[in-house]
Amino acid sequence: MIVTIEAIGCWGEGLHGWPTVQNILRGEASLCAESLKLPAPTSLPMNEQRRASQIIRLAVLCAEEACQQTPYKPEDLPVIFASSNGDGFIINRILESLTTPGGAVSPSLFHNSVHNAPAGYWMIGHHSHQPAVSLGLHDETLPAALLKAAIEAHIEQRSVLFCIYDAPVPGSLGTARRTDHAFSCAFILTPGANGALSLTLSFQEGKGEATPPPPLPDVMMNILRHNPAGHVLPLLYAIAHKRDCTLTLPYGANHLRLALAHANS
Amino acid sequence: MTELIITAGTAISAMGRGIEATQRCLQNKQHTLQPDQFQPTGHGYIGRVVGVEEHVIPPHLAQFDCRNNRLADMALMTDGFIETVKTASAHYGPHRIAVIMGTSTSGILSAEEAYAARTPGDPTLPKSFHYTNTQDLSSLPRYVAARLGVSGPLLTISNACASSTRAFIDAAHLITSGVCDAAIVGGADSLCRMTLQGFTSLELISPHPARPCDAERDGISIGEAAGFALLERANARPLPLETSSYRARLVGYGASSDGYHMSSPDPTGAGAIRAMQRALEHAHLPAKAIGYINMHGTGTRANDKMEDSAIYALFGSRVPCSSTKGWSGHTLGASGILETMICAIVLNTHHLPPCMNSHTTDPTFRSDILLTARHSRSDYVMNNAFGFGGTNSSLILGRFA
Repeated sequence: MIVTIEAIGCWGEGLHGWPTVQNILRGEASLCAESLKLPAPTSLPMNEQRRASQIIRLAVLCAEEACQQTPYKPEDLPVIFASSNGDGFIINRILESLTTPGGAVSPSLFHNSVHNAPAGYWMIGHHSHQPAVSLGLHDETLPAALLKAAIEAHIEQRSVLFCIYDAPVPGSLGTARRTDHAFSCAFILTPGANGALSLTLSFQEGKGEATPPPPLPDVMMNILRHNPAGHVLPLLYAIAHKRDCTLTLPYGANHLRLALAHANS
Repeated sequence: MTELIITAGTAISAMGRGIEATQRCLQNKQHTLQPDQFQPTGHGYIGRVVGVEEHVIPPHLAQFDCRNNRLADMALMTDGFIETVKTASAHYGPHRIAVIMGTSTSGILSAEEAYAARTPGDPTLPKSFHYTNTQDLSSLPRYVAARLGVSGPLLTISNACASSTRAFIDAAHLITSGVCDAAIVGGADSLCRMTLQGFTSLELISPHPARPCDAERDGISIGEAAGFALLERANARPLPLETSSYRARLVGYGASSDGYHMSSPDPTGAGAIRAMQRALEHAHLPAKAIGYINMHGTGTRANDKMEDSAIYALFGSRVPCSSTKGWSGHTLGASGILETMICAIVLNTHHLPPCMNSHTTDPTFRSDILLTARHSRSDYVMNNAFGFGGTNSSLILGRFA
């Protein structure tokens, strides 16, 4: 199954957009320690911009960046949003509230706690009526969601917006689920090989050995190891270096094989 | 669309354990909601499954023990589901069967208990709490795959209250693509304080048993449920000739977003209309082909009004509709699989269930809302699910030939 990667968005703490991330991956720049805080995404309604949690900012910023590189209107794209932890900040707050006498929880925290809140805000921001699905599969969220996105593009024969994001979980929950360094990545995927960058996905039986990581800068290596969304970094490394590559991602009892190819120009 | 059929199915909820018990409950108009005694501060009514606390999951899978997986296990052990999957697995190979689950909160009750059991001043959670095997979204499909001995692709859909309805769409995509031959589709959502307190904070819990579509409806009753369907291509393998009430064809699906508000439905119903319209287009069916609609019908003022106007816009008052949440309560992410099984029962028994607990239809409603049961043979029925984040999914099921 082949898809074209038409556009890329990539954000995180100190990682303000795909051009910056590419420079870091090429060893030409380092993480911007002064800009760890994520800006408010402009595509959200004004009152939501201020209130948007880190996980919503992560998802929406990279989705915005990917959409800005293509002629597609965001409201025309079905979306596949993926995250292992969802909004750990909110879940921890709610779990804390439940231990207080009476156990009352905040209504806005509750409706923002659903795993599909970032997708919901993205659709609200663009008044989009397209289908949106939100997924999670722990440390195998990337192969599960990428395969699902490519399949949806093929079966429905249209471009889709794929977005993966995860952030550190605070509080007690964080002691049970380590996640480092907020990170997100978005692709616009089109069925077939019809652009500069194509990705062949094959779901294969048997565990398969994970591809050893490329020589990533330290900060990126840490994201790869301790953030489920960061599992996309070896792919981004190859793209930043304009190299073809094959990658094996463990996926349950099986594995997903990715082959990245640059069209000859 | 590749012709897809449901060849095994099961559901467990306050209505009963399994398809036959659910069918009996629908026919006898049994009251199944009870006052919320799940939490000390509870108010309103809940749809609680009897026996979850006592249920023991197999020792070799004990690491997955939590209320959500117990509920899932109780469903898996019902309606001969495990045996039917075994036969399918022998035919296709275990690696060719995917597990696509919908859940909104997975096993979060275990995290609630772990938070309560902390030593004051120490943020560390007790060692007995295993995040990955309980609270994490992957817990349910990993448990189900291990229990059934299948090893195809796993996926958890968490689209709030539309989770397990949407899971059918994602399973259909996977089977059609050829990545797998069959899929275990369904989900589970179990009682937990987070959802009971959360809906209380939004002032959406009724002090009475939920009365969908009633003029005096005043909110939801939360319930718990688990259910599973074995979805596969038609004519891919020889099937036993038995006629079971869970058998049905999945003939169409449609999904959409409201793009309107996180927790309130778009009052114009535009998103719901799109999901239903897309399902009809996908099934190549005119609106008049649908013989019954199992509504999302939560019992809130806003949802039921929106859904009535959306159904009326597409179907007029020709199609009988009801919500079965007056029996089960709103089982959140599991409502899709439970109500898909109810749709299969309707196709096989021709018994259209009414809105339980509801006595007077909202006078502003224009659809054909059922307050008493009706007997009518349908070729096709529809199931709706809408959720927080403005996510909508509709499925169309057809009678098994």
